[in-house]
Amino acid sequence: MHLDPQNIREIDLFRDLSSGELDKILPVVHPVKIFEGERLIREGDTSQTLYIIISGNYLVYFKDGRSFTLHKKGDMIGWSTIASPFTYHESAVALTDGEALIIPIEEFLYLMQLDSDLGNKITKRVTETVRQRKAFVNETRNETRTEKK
Amino acid sequence: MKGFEAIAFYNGWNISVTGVLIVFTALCTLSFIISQLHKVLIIIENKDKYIKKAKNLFSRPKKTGLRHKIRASRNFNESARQFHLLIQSMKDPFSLPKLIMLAKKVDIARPYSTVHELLATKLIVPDGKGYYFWDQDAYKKFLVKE
Repeated sequence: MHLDPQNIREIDLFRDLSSGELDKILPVVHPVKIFEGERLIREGDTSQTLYIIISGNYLVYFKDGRSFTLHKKGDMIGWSTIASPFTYHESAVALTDGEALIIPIEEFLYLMQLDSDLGNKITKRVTETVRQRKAFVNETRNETRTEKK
Repeated sequence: MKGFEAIAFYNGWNISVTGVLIVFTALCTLSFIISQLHKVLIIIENKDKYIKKAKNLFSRPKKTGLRHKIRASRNFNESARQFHLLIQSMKDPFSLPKLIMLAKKVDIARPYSTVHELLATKLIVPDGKGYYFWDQDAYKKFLVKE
């Protein structure tokens, strides 16, 4: 995939960024090919890479057996990369071949620290994703607890 | 014997001309390599694409047409049947990662993409709480259609 500010702007995480901010982001974003069955992240590991889906189908799952699938362009895998305590909260595996953008966390955090405005915009988007996923996780956990009682 | 006379006697002129030619040729070669370097970089950046192209050159042409479609369909039917048997051995609703793990244990071919196909054909349906169930009615309809 060829990366330029125009097609990177189509990704939800970068939608609010200005042209100047996109130019800063571009060098830390790397396109990669993902193959069927490839494990992207493992729950409990130190989070080092954020994945943004371009194409393909992915299964995100938790140790207790719950899971959901992702396939939309711009969906994030490994959001905990930019949140304390910097460990993955879920595991993810590719169900089909696909493409993704990877962002190494060190470069990304450094960039966000250098430019607080850019950092705020990214954090806002990530928080939205976390909010959606947390709702899913908490709801399921509460129900599991109730069933056990 | 001194000066130009000595240079001519010991083939100095020939040696110096040869030296100049060697250096000039080397510099030309080097500049040509550098001028073409961007093409090599493009190949390295898109190596997956080029590897695929190279593989396609040496591999047999892909089977297309009706016979291939029938075979693919049979493969999927067989996979669906195998997954159905596995799911019957699990409690309902079942965990998708556990199903994949089980499928890998019993050596079902391509468990990841098959699960994706089963989700896409809605034979496996999410319960909205992180678990899944097998849609028996859809499976019956699917079998009748096939």
